[in-house]
Amino acid sequence: MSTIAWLFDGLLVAALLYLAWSLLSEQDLFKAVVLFIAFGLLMALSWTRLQAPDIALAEAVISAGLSGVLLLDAVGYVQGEKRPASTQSEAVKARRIEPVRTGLNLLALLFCAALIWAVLDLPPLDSGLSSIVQAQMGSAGVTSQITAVLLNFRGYDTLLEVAVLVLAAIGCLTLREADQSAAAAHLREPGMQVLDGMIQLVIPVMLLVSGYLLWAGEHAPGGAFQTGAMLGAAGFLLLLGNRMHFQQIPGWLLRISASLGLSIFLLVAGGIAISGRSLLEYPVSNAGKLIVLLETAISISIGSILIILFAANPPSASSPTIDQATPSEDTTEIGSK
Amino acid sequence: MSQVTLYTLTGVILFFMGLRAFLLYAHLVRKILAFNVMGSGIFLLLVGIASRVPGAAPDPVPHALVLTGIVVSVSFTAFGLVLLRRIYAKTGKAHITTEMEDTDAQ
Repeated sequence: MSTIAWLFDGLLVAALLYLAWSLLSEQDLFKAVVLFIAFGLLMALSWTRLQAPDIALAEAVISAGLSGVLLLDAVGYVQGEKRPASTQSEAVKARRIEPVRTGLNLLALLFCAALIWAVLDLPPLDSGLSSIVQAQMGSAGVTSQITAVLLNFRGYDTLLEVAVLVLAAIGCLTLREADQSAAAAHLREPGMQVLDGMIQLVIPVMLLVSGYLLWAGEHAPGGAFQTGAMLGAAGFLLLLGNRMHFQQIPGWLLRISASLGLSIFLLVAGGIAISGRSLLEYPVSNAGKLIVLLETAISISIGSILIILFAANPPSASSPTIDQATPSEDTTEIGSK
Repeated sequence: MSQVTLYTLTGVILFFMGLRAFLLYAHLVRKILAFNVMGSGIFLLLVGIASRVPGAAPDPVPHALVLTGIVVSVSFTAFGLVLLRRIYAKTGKAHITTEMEDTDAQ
């Protein structure tokens, strides 16, 4: 058993390193992004090997699925024109700064060596914070340790993270509104029957899965991030399949749902602070209810923020390169489910 | 050396590959890809460090941090790509040249 496990881990690690190397050195950006998606899927597999199913779920949906779609769209947008000019200029630049390249390579190598030394030099037995977390689980309000850490013990991190997401969405919306012409050009022609049929089959399942993940987060792998990512992925699919148009979603609805998580989080934090406790120190009796409320609000927010981020990166219908790229995006989306 | 160490070291090497590509490539899409690979390396490193005690359940705090990190990295990627589109729309270039140094800082 142990030999097989070693063999599997060895192969997985080798494949990860190979994919990372080839995606970074690949000349064709489209291929590089496809390799990146494969890399994300193998990362998800690695997380399960490292007993981190929560991260595996998030990685499979986000890195392999959502980031992949966004990157493919961007590659299509950028590759539309002047690709030869760009590579040539890169080559010219590369020749000019050869000494700098060597220096930077050496610096990165040195840093890498120092990190490897640090990793191998770590004290072998240290339970870290897990004993503290275990001791406090009784007052957490949930039985899943990860959820307890995310929304109770380290609620600060999650609060700030949701704030970062809202900021990213505001940034994207601002830049997008300045560029309406590109946003208006992305509507695809209807009539892709396979895609239409698949959307009808997959969307209800995705909604069901996201509901399950939200519920499961209390005691098992799952929770707000995975639910939000799944909702976002469903939105991506609807937008890609032309079932939903970003322009048709009322702006107030989008703004409210995107800021819901942060607003409720701040209200809860403020309410607790006013009642004389420290910020985000939930009363033990109500901790479970508060966490469920926060998780629901954060899920909805993450889902709508991801839709905003996607809509701010519209697939533009102007160049033929993009037409080749779009079917693959749909496949990615399915795969990430 | 345990299997966890294997993944931790892989994380370090991934970080190195990403860092190198991030510094050396001028194309902005490549920089964003490299940034994501760097992130994956750091996440592997963190989770590897979290499960150093053999047989025991892994430390949940780094796991939660990594989960947060993955969601932040997708928002970073999306925002970076929006900026890239604006740069491309304004200048017709998707890579860094000397007159675009300011854009590089973002």
